[in-house]
Amino acid sequence: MEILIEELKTTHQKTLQETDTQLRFTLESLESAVEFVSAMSEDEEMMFQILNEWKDSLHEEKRDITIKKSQKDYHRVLSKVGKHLVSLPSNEIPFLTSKKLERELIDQLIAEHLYRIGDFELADQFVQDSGSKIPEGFRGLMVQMHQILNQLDQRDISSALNWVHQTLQLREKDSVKEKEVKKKLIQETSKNEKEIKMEKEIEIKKEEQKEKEIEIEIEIEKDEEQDEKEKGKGKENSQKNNTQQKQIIKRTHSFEFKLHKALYLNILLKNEIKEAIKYSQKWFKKFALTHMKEIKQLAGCLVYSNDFAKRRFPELFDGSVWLQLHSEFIEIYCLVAEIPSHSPLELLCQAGESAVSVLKKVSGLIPINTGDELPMEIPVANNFKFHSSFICPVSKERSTQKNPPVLLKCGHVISKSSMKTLLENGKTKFKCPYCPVITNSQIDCIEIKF
Amino acid sequence: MNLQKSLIQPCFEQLSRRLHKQYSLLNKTLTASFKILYSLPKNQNVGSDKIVEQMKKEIERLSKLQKDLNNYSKDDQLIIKKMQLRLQYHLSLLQVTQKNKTKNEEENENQEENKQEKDKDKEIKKENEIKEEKNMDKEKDKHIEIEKEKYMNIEENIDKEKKKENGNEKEKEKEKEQENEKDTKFFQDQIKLRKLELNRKLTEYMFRKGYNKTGTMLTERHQFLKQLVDQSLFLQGKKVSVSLSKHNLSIPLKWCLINRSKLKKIDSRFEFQLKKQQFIEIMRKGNRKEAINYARKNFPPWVGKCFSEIKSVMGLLAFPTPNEQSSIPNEEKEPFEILPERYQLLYGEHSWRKLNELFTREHVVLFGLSESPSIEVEFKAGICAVKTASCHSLHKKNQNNQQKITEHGTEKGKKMGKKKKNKKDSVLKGFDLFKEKKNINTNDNNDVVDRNTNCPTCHPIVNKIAKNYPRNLITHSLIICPLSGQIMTPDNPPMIFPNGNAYSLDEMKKMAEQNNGIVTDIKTNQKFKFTQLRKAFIV
Repeated sequence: MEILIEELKTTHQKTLQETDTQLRFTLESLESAVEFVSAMSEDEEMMFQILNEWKDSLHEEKRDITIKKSQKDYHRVLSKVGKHLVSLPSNEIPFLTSKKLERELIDQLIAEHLYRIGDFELADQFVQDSGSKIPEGFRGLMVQMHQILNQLDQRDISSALNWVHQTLQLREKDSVKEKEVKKKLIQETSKNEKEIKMEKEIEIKKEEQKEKEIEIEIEIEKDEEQDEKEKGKGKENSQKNNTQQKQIIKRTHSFEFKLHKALYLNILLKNEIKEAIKYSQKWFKKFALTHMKEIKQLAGCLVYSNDFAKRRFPELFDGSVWLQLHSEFIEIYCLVAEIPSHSPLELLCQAGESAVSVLKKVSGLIPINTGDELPMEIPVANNFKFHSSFICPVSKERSTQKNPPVLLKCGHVISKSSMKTLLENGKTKFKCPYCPVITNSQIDCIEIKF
Repeated sequence: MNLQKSLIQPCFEQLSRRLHKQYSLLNKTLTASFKILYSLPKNQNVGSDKIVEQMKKEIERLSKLQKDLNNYSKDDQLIIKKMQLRLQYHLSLLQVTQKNKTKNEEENENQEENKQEKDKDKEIKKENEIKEEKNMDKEKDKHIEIEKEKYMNIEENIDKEKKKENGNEKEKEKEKEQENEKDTKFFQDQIKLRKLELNRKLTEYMFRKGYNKTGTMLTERHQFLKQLVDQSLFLQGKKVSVSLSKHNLSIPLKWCLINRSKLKKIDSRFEFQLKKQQFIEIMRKGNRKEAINYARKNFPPWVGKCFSEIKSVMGLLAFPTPNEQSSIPNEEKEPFEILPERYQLLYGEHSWRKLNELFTREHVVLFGLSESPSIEVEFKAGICAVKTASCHSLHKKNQNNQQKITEHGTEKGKKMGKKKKNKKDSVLKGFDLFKEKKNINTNDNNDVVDRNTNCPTCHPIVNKIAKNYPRNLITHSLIICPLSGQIMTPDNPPMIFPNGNAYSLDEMKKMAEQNNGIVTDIKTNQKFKFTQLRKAFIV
């Protein structure tokens, strides 16, 4: 293809040259003829003789024909290019064509993506043009994030520190609140128990009002269920929140340390050792328990001279610390705000790059239903995998809630259904398909929840 | 190969159209002027002044032609350069995707192998990888060298041919060379290239949908985008679609005439649809005779392909037009409503909208681009690749069914006559009931939906789109630790708690070190000893 285009270029220039020169010559001869004619205007016979001669010479030279021929060369190469292009397969994948219902949603996603990049002018223009809606507060979140990022890029950590302190304060408040909520729930449930006991005694005494009491029972049961629900929900939510909060607190804590570390290294680069010591004394105390190793390393850098330190710890002094801060901040900010850390549009387009070619090949061979599962596997890099999935090595089925994976005595894992097939006629012991260890299906097995 | 057509064909079409124009211009002027010149000596009665006048006219004409052709060719050369740039861009993208493919395949292969084989193979593979990378780099270098040589050769040829000794021109050429080198260097940088590709797709999307302001803003912010996106193409198409929205058929019909041969190649029926609409418009006014004449003129060439459509349209003749009154007396309905639905549709807005959509599709296909914007296609392909069973949430129908089950369940429980309900037992025994009451999101196969905020398909908007697309087939187990988010490998296997939850070995080790050998299950807050955990071997 490149060769063809090269050819195209050269032929185009050649034709240009040819036509140019030919036209130039014709013009020259014309002009000279004009001169002659005007000179010989008195003598008509001579004039016409000259004109005839000139016309014959024109005929002989056939300049107009050469011009047209040269154009044809260019035309020929161009048509070659055209044929080659037509022979290329089309880009269509039938089941991926655009549908009306999706357009608005895709516009919303693109708007989110543009806000994430930080180009607010462009994003606002897009929202105006397309009329798409963004979730409330998203724009504000992104504006704040980019403000802090801009400051970080200029090596200023003040706003980042502010944000870190704010989030830590909030999280601590929340964890205190949650403890109070838990206590309340426990008190309520204990109250309910007492109520139930009272009403059951009434039941035993009054037998005539059985139906009404049964109704009351139902109500109580419903209340119980609601309480259980709330308790359960509260439990789960609080559990999730607990783990999340802990993670967030941990990460923001270490992020704060990294901020201080980066500034400290900056001061060291300027060779201001006294200032560096002061700074470390001020800020590193908090992190003594968790980040002792790193603090030791940084303190050691005080002893080395600048050049030696750069050779000894190149990764600390070449500016990569700030780049790492940049990317970490984005991750932590998004974790706190409970939004994905990378734009979903960008991730999916990256994954789609390699997927498109596979899908095109297969859709030509097998019709792909927009149903449950693809008929073949699209190889995808590990950074696009976010969910666990277990495939039983025996039956090659994906495990579900009804068919969970089961841990055997030897440590191998198979699905429950394949374990049932290995059990024969009410027996409880069976041999693992991978190693000759006998497992007792009722005692040794645990159902795993991945 | 995917992009090549959509990138280069528009340029090619532009060039061929310009060539046609130039050629016709050239032809006309040359034949005309040479005719006059050849006929000059024959006009013997005409005075010399007039002859001189005529010759001067021809001089003017030919010199004008020369200028016009020069101007045309300058723009043509720019287009050819654009083609070369696009091809270069496409080739460097290909290399990037090929590299990633080999990486993916290697990753997937690594999951299959056992430890012992792994260690040996790892070393060999590392060597191979290094070799491959070297080869790729070599190929790249070769490629760039070849191109550089070509540029050099062409530069030399141009020097020879032109025989121009202006120093300025040579300097310009050198600058161009340097720019070309810069281009190649830019295209080698993977990250920049990917960003550029994403932006290119975004700008294409903007222009296709008609968001022209954002499109132009994007092209201003990024290098190369103006040359990679065909803005003019979409603007041209807009004219026609605007006229269609105003119910004006003259411009689209002109467009069809100009592109007739190419539309034939695609086997398009757009022209027929236009004529059908024209017929409907004539019928709307009530001129049946005119309509029949129009049909007689215009429909016969399309009988082979679109006969059924012709039949249905001609059926309009049988029914009263919107303006006519019904011939049936005492009819309460308006004449339009007597028509069966499909004829009503023909008269309505629906057919105009269809026309518009058909045009936007065909217009774009003529130039070699795909029907739907490439960002949408890639985005959806990505959904198919990334989506898992845990991302998909419940449909509303199933939710209703579940509520019924819960009501039924409680009545049953009441009838059994359980006197004392121990709360703990009810929580643990009726685990399934409990779950149903809670209405946990489960999809059809009763998978538990586990929303990971970082997973793109779990994002609420993407989730809505993703419902209609299949998920990727998974052939190998992949377990991710809920604590660290890392994929568990044979070096870092899952440790199973007695209650069934699983976490990675590294995380459990850390927890045990910090808590004197006691590990807590985060999901249930239960505490166990590290020694109670059991290792799981995932094949």
